[in-house]
Amino acid sequence: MIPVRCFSCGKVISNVWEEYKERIVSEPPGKVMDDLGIERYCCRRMLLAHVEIVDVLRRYQ
Amino acid sequence: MKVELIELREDRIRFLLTGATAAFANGIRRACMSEVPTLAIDEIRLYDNTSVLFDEQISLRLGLIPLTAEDLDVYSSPEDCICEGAGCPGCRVDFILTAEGPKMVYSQDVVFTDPGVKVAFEGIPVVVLGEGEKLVVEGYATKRTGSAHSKWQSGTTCGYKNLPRIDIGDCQKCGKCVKVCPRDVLALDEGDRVRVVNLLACSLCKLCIDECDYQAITVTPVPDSFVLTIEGDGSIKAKDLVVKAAEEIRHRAEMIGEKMADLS
Amino acid sequence: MDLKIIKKDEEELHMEFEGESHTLLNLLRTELLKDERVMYATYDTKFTIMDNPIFKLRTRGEDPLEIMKQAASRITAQCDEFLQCYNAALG
Repeated sequence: MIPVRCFSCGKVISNVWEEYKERIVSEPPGKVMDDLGIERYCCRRMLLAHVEIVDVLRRYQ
Repeated sequence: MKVELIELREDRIRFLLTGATAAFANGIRRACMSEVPTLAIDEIRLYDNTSVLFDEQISLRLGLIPLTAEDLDVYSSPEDCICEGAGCPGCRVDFILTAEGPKMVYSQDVVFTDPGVKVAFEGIPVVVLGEGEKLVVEGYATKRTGSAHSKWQSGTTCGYKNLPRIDIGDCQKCGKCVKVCPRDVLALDEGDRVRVVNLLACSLCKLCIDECDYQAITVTPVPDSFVLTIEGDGSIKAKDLVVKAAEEIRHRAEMIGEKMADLS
Repeated sequence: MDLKIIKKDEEELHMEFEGESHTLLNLLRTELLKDERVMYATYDTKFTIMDNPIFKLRTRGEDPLEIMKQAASRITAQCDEFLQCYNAALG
């Protein structure tokens, strides 16, 4: 699961995650983040570097 | 003292404060971050959790959701409450969260008993539930300050800097300073010298001074002018946050005055 | 906020500020140092987050409690002035 807030600055970033995930399929991530109001690089790395593994974990429940 | 508004957004305010001490600007900044109380989910009881996340992870995620209240003043901190911390409707807002998979549980699924209390962002994913997975949570939010835990920190990114003053003397129009400036503060155009075009963006890094071969540039901080940037987490509007911070400092100073009068 | 007097005589005051931090004490110190009657004003926290800060004030013969009270009222005035200017700027 995407962390609720940015680790460094505390800005809520998880509310844009799903839109971000959809849009990066066709657009450059940098532009999408600009659009979504993710400005600082601490917040940007949260989205950029996140790997969703819940669905992988579920198999081993 | 003078205040000039530079930028105003729901979650962020930037203003220029002139004629104040650095201690006052810093007081406002610190108060925004750690002395202004806000609501956050404090304790939860998990009746059922068959999701992929551990109970602790769910409780941590719930705690980090910013909460807004129509009237925050109706709640008191548990320490100052008439119930003396035992827990009562005056210092607690109860909530329930029930969900059954397959679905994504969002912050908007958290239902508070007080209709005035809402989550600041509705689309925060809490946990994804698979087929047959269940989540039943009950708990309460309390009002505290950021000094207790960062989930109660209503001002997340707050800072100030001195207003820069850039003087350009005997300029030869080589343009080196324009190129080296990381924030495009300077510009070279028709005039007889380099021009300051974006003073507020200057971070006083002084790269332009090092770069200038003619020692034509000086950058100095104006000692009594400050650019304050206050950004909130969404629980309290940024413009109200600053007011609350100043009121908090005022209240404390007043208390010192009263106690001094009692003692002498 | 609870204040505990540790030492007090005609010109010196050592006082513990329970639960306070730089937010207020740095402001208080700056205000006190503007006062000509103050010889020194400073504060110290033995161990951050575990201990309460202890404020030390020495004056040039005047009652330190009175001087501290005046500094506190100057801070209150500053906050009032700030709030007034701020609200005016927001319009």
